[in-house]
Amino acid sequence: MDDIVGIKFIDKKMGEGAVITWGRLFDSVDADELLDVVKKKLPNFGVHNLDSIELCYSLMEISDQPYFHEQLKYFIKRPIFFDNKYEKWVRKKREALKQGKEILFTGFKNEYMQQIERNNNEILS
Amino acid sequence: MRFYRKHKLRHYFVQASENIKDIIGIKFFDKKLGKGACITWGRIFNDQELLKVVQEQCVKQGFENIESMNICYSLQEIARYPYFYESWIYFVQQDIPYKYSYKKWKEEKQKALCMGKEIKFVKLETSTKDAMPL
Repeated sequence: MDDIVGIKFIDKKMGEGAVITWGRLFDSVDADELLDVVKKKLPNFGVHNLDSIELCYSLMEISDQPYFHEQLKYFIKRPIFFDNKYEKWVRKKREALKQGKEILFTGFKNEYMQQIERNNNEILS
Repeated sequence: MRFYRKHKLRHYFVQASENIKDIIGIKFFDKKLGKGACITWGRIFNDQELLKVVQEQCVKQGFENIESMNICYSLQEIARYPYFYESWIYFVQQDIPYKYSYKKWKEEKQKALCMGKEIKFVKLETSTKDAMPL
């Protein structure tokens, strides 16, 4: 169930954000190593003042993030090999995550809200 | 010439790589029928061309008095609309050939869109009670 996971964080300046990535790669229970890998990637998304970061209970928690559906599509399209190829698949994905790949950013909620507000104001004016 | 070729090649690969704008939402407001929205392929036409194609299909769906129409910031804007997930899954299930024959795929989708296919309306609101601008 936790093969695809959401990680939410708060940046002091940019506000709320999240990423989607593969779960259960480093440890099936402990999320620390995964969070460390994700933290290294966050500056690439403009997160320079990280306040807090945590693994979501389920994807539902970040389903209201701006690019949630666009990024989820990436993981839906890629099959997980649950048979005897699973270990090999895990190793491959672990390596990818360490290189900063397959950690997909769903956008900043504040930016999204501001853009929506701007669009609405343009229509009303 | 070499510079031009290099950039042309780079442009091709950028074009044929995975993008968050592959599937997009378009929302509109009809004076009589209210709000509506649809999901379709992004990056097939430029924004203006796409809106023109969608507008033609809107007329066929009964939206003849469209006041405003714009491309959504992200799919999140229309995710709460009825039939959103049904339509989104239709697009997600299709493979986009990023590596090979992307150009051919794009041409096929251009034709389909012009014929009114591959534009899924996620909300057809007939009530004017809550007809508010988007």
